Amino acid sequence: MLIVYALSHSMQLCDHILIHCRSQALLDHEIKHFLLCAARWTTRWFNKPKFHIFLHLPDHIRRFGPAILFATEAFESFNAIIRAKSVHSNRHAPSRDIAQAFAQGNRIRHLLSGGFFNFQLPLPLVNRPHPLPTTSGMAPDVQRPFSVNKSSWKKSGTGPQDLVYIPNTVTQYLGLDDKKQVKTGE
Amino acid sequence: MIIVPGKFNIHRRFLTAVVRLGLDPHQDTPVEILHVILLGFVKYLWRDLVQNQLGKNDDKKGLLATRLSSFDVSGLGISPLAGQTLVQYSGSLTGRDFRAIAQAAPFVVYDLVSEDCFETWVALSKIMPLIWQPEIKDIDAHCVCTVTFNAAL
Repeated sequence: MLIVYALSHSMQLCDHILIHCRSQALLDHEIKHFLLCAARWTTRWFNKPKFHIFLHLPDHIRRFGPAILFATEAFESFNAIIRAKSVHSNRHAPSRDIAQAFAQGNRIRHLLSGGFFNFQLPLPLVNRPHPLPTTSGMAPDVQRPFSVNKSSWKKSGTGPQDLVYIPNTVTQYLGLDDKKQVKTGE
Repeated sequence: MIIVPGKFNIHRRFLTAVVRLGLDPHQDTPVEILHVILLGFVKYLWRDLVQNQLGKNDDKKGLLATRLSSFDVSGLGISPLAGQTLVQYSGSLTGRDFRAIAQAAPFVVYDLVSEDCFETWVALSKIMPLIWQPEIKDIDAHCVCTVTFNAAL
């Protein structure tokens, strides 16, 4: 049954090739030529679905543009970066650990780039004023995520910032290096 | 019952939401060249060559590795090929390796395989630059669309 199917399939292909030798559609012609070569070698290749899927490529190039634009090759390589963040984890909650590792990276990068952060020293217990009623019901001495007081926004000093003054391993890990110049065609 | 033109009439509850919203997987999910070609055909053919055809013939495998290592890659814009790695680890290579293999293979396997196999390698190598073309000047000359294809039949 399979052989009959394969034979009829390859005969159909032969017909297609005959018709298409006349047309100048390069890719289409070459795809069919490749399939014909594979069929002549051994029809067992056609157990693989990709040999059929391939035939749809010219349509998709026509619809979506050059195939390199919808290739996942570049994005797939980002898996390595995500995976690298899972190395020092006990793998009990990989997604959480990876997310936290990236958040930590972002935080360090923000601080070393001279970014501001909201920092309020907690007042000593004895000096604390009586809690004033606030709309949120929160005591005023509690550290808040945001402050309108300019003096509570700090940035890292020269010591930490010197660490990333020139490109080194730290800047490389944190992605603080200058972007490489993109090569352009002539 | 809902009527899908030109298709079987399927009861609504058998259709998933995406189909009801108008997704046609054949049209709307493009052929992905990394998995279909590099990790598909090129990988199939390369593994078949190294693992089945050359198999335990270490002399021929050594010859293949040496030829790959001494292959002139100056026109490809890639670093020289690591022949021994490409042959020894034929089962666990990446897309980049297969891209190099697809272009070098016809020049290094010519007398190691049958004529039919060689023809297939040559055909595959010819397709590679057509698919990885970043810009297409004349779409009709590059790939004929199915409409004309069906009309020709």
